[in-house]
Amino acid sequence: MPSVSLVCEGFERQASATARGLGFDGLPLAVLRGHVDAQTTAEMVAAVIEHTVPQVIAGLTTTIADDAAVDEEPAALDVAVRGTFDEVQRAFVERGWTDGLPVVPPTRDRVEAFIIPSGHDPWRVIGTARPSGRDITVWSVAVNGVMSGCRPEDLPVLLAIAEVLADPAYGVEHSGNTTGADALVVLNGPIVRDLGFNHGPGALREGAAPNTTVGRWVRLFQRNVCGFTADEHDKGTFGNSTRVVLAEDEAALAEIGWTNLATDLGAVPGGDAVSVVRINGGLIVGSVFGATPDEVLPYLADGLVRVTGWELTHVYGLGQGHYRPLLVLSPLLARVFARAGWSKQEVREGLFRHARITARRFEQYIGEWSNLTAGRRTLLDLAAAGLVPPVYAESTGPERLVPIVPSPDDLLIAVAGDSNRANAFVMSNDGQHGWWTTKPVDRSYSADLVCRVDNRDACS
Amino acid sequence: MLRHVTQQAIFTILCRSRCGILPSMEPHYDVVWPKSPRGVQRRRAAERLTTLEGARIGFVWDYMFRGEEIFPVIASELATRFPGLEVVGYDTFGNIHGADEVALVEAMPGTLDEHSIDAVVVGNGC
Repeated sequence: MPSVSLVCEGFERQASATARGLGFDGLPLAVLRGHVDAQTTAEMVAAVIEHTVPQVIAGLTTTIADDAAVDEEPAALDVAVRGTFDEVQRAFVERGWTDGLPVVPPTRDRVEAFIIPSGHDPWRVIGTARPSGRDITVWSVAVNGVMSGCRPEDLPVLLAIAEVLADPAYGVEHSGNTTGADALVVLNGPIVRDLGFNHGPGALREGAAPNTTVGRWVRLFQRNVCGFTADEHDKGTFGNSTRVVLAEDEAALAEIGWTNLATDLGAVPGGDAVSVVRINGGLIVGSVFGATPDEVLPYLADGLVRVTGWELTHVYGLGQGHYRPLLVLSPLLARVFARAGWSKQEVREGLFRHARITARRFEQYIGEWSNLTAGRRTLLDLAAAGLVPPVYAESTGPERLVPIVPSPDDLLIAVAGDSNRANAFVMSNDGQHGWWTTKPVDRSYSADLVCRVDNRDACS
Repeated sequence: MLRHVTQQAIFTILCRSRCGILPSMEPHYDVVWPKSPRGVQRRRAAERLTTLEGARIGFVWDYMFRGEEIFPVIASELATRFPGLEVVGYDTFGNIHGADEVALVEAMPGTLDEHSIDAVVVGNGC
């Protein structure tokens, strides 16, 4: 069906690249001059009439030339660059294939050595990378794994993350949105200990090779395979730095009898799993003072409130019940609750009672200040329409306190960091633009490669 | 003194190597491509309409960036210029960037057929 897409000025390249990723070259655009959020109504209407409407008409009635050149691209085993270490680095920077840091040169030998111990078929297609439309293959996962400095034993973790990126529920195609969130990987299970991931001091900073290199892989893979570079799909106004993998302190969790994050998100208890989410930003809740839950809860809840702003549009607006912020407790703080006999669910319920803002402020974030809720409907309107739960309409005054999430279950908790320090970290997620998605990490030997090379029929 | 001589010797070797007098011992790398082939096949875009007169145009919106103000302006302008043109508003098709985005977009071809739509204006990417 003929279509024309409305885009603000500056989004033309991204829109064309997205169309190409869907198999269409040259789909017509109608450009909204400037950015509509920064225009008066009169300015916007005049620009639409003068500039956009003629493009709408042309887009629906003018034949699209079918002369787009087909890019000549290397095959997987072709030598893409040949040279010294410095020459390889220079070529990768010029072609936009790195995150700006030097990479381990991905020679064919290195990539094969990265895959072979796992037994995976290099050419297995895990899914389609959106918005680029490229295949997510074991080979492409491994090439970028080598470049990032990952170890062959990290491959199962990378493959699990790749499955998340291929899952429409995650929504990787939104990873270039203007607010610029970036992916966080949380790792759970015995694999944390077995592969030496850091869950202790400095848990969220570079320094521990497994956490750092796997986190870096996420960035490189999204650049190279999903297409999130400024030339194609990245429109992040600011962006975030690459996030290292957050590994939970499984021993501390076992000691206090709490489930880990992956289990809370539906993974099989006791197994290895990755959970991936796009995070807008985070902040430290420093030097939490108190020996009882009642003493520490208000400050932790205040941290969740302070990290929450326009993200409330994921409660309603852009999303509906898609705001699930993360509270990372140090083991010491988790023990404050456990010592008092509190389950994780009781902590969530306590936070839910305390993490509240005025209805007026909530409505400003989702409507008045951001214009992200069409029609700027009030929480009372939304509750009456059944679009937010009744808790948002228990009374009517604009100064009434309402929760930042619809349910205690929307507050996620992880345990990591220096075991004997009273600090916490809070992070806000970007709704369905990188929605919490959990996949098991399968460390078992795969017969795929043997089947492919030796006797595929016998393995089918 | 010995240290000075050694440093000078190392410097000389390095310099000669860089000048091409001695062959460089630096290894070379044949590296592979970090991208991946496009699995999505190229497709031809739909034939355009010969005229918008009498056409039924669907407006499909992501409920963002002032579409509630922009689409009425476009509707009015198109209706003025093309007799018989009919607009089916965005309320009919739902929010393509809302909570049920994936399901709604998957169902969109059928929804457009159901409403006998001839062409679509979709927005807003900002």
